[in-house]
Amino acid sequence: MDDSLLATPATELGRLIEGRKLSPVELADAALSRISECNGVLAAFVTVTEDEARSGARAAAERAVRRERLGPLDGIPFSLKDLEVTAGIRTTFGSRFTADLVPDADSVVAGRLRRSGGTLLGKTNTPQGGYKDACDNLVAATTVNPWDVTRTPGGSSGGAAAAVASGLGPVAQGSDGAGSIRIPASLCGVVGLKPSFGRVPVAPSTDHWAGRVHNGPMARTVADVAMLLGVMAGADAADPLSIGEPGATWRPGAVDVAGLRVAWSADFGYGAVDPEVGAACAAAAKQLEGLGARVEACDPAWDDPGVFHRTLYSVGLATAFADRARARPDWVEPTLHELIEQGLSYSARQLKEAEMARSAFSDSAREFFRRFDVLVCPTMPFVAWPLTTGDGPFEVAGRSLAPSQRRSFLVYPFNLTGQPALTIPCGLHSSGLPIGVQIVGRWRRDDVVLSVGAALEAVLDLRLPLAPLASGPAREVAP
Amino acid sequence: MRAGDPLRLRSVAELTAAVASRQVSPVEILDDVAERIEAVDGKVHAFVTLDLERARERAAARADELARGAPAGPLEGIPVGIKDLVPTAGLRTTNGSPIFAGHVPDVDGIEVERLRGAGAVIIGKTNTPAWGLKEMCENLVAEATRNPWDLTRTSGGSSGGAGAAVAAGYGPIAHGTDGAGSVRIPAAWCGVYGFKPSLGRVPLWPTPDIWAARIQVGPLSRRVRDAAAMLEVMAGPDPRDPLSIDGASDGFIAACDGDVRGLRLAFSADLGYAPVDAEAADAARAAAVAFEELGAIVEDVGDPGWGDPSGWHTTIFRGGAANRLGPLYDASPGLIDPSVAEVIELGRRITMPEYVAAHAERTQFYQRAHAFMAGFDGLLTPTMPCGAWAYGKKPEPVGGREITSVGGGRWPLVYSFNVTGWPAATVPCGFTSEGLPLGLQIVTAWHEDERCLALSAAYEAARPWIEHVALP
Repeated sequence: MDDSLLATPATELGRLIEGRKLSPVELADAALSRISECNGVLAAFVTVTEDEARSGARAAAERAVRRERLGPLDGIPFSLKDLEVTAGIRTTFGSRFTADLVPDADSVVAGRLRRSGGTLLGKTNTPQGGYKDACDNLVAATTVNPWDVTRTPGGSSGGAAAAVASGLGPVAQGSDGAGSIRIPASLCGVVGLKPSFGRVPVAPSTDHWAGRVHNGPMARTVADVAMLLGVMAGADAADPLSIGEPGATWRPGAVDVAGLRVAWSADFGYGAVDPEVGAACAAAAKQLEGLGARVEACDPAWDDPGVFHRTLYSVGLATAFADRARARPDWVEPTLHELIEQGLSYSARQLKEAEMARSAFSDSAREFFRRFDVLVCPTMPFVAWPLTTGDGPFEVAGRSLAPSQRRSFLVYPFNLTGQPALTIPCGLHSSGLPIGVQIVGRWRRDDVVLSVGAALEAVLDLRLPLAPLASGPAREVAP
Repeated sequence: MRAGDPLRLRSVAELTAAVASRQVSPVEILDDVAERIEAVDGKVHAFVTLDLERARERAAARADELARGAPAGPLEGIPVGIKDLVPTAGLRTTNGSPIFAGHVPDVDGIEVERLRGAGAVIIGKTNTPAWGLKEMCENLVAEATRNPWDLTRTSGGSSGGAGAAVAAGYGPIAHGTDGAGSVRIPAAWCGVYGFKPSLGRVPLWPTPDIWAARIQVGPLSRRVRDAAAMLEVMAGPDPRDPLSIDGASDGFIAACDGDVRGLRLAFSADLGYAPVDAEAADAARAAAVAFEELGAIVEDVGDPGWGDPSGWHTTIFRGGAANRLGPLYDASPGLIDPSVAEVIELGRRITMPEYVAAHAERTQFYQRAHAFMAGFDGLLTPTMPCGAWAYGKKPEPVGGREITSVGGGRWPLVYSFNVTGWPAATVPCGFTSEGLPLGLQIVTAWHEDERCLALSAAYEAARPWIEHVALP
């Protein structure tokens, strides 16, 4: 097995396929053999679609020979998160209630990616309904962090992040309702983009107008994330709030970093972060000065949206799961039960007030961004935590940051505003675990975020290897 | 257009060309409109607040600038009334409520900024029921707006002042907003054109609840191209509205020349659930024939099969109003109209599970409507189930059914397209036996504003209505 092939970015693999120096079949073989080697430990994949991968790769190989590649993903292995419905492929939603569901239609994004010529490796793990920032559930084995298998990869796109970090395909689709792309990307040392709201359609959906869930790309380089965004993005009438022309290409570097106004905030003035994480991210922000940006330390002048966000978040979970939780309480995790109960405790008036507070929050965020092109901050307040910590209280710098939404206080504000937000690795903690830095752009300026990310990636020049995948006990994927 | 017509009845294109070439001054247009308003608005009551003195100053200032060679804007010299739900910097904005009788905002709504920037002359604030919550233009702060076709009837609402202003000849265009039919209802009842664009086409700001995502700003006008010209100025994204979308790639005026031959149009007289008078249904059905003459294929689908949305829509409508207005109601119950108080009281009884279930139903409804529209390029329905009802009274039964309290029951055919966010226009399509205007609603699929305008303009050419001018 060729590790260097698995560590090669998708954009470079595409050039090799284009030049007929690499066969998609060889690439699929390498990825599938890496999966069979690692997935027993990692549990990144809930379902591996080996047959579809092999037949897809053969078709891609034939297209490459005929010089008829369908696009930049043709022949490249990729994965779909198990919250995304896939025709003919089991889709569990990380839930016992849908453990054996085989949908008869693709989601808009699954359809786009499956038609792109890319090699679908399988479905990646997620907590039930994507409800939290870790990756355990009652339907599959627990996904672990490839940098330290005693720790969580984060969530909810934890399987996707673990897969990309350890070379189980160079790119992955993820989704992000309150940080679920950026959290695991940060904890696993990969790149994750939550694009602008609507940039990538979310359909089917149980509530289009809730307006917080974003679909997006994950990869090991910013260029790969931009490439995958191009394949995923563009409006579709099935998602009434989707935006943009399908087929647009996203070129990191399209926007010059020199002259950009950058705000740096370690903790938004109301949170707390591990000092080492803060220092690594501050150093990354400082690097932007060397690229000609004007960096100013400035906490956002918005009020902590935590209270109304928690209302919106828990009501959403209560809506999705309350009936099922009553029918089969044993199929619902204790912390999900708590969130459902909390959601059910609110009145319609409190919910509506939370929705209006969100409008006001968007206004204050926009005011802050009038002065800045981007905000740079840590993605997570600390590195990956032990699996045994679970969803319980968490302390950092002497302050308690429980429950789980509090751990994501740096990421979910941009689900509320719909602004683009990217995380890239910016260093390793003394524990050896990756640290991610978040780059948040103005409304719909995904181009700026990608350009700043690519410039920072180049100057940081981390060259993280594939996650070392320290050995751990081999485990079954199925429960 | 007849050669001897006064300026106030001429089209946007004609007026702006005359202003740009300095054959006509913005002051002359304003004076002609003002003369008409002074003559008849004492009977029609389209305006809550008139600002003619400052309008004349601005028109004169612009005339000077144009004389010195300043470029003319796309709406240069066009007088426009702004609906009194949208803030106008320095000009009283009541929201149709005595609570705001003395409220003078310090900002413009985004579309007001853009209209001013395009050279339009703001002449005042048009009437609306309090917070736009019903289909009649009655409130506790101004005289009720009457229908220029019959002064014993309502103009419709909530953009009733706008509909009446256009019908009464106060210039070619007026500004409206539409959260559940509020552009289309008064346009239909006042016998003018109304266009509700896609959600986000015209940015909505300021608003306390952007994610409710049902309110769309749109023009009312004497002609389709007048509306397109106004839309072209108002449309286009702005970061203040996170859900705003791009404008038309080739412009909305150009879209009016779009070909409608071969388009597949569905016709439904009642969407399968609405009470509709035979007169209104027959007029709409006859109007649909015009599209067959134009080379489109019209299929009477009867019931589109997407179900009656009135239950869950009423929940969302009342819940939103109760929450937004509840604090004002508690503070000053005597200053809240009984119909608004009823909406708030009923809205307060809604439980959280009912509220979230209604939102889930909205998404399911969208998916069914989207599946239906996949087979068609447009949908035609009556706009309202009958002609304008008497102002100040409870509506008579329609199609043998009682008209329910305020909520979707009084405007059953229009609000679905606020829920989906799709473009929807109303064109005049005839009169009741009592001489009251009726409208045909033209709906197109997601983001197909250009097609909706093309269908509207083709119909206008085939069945001209511009000769019908209400002269109260």
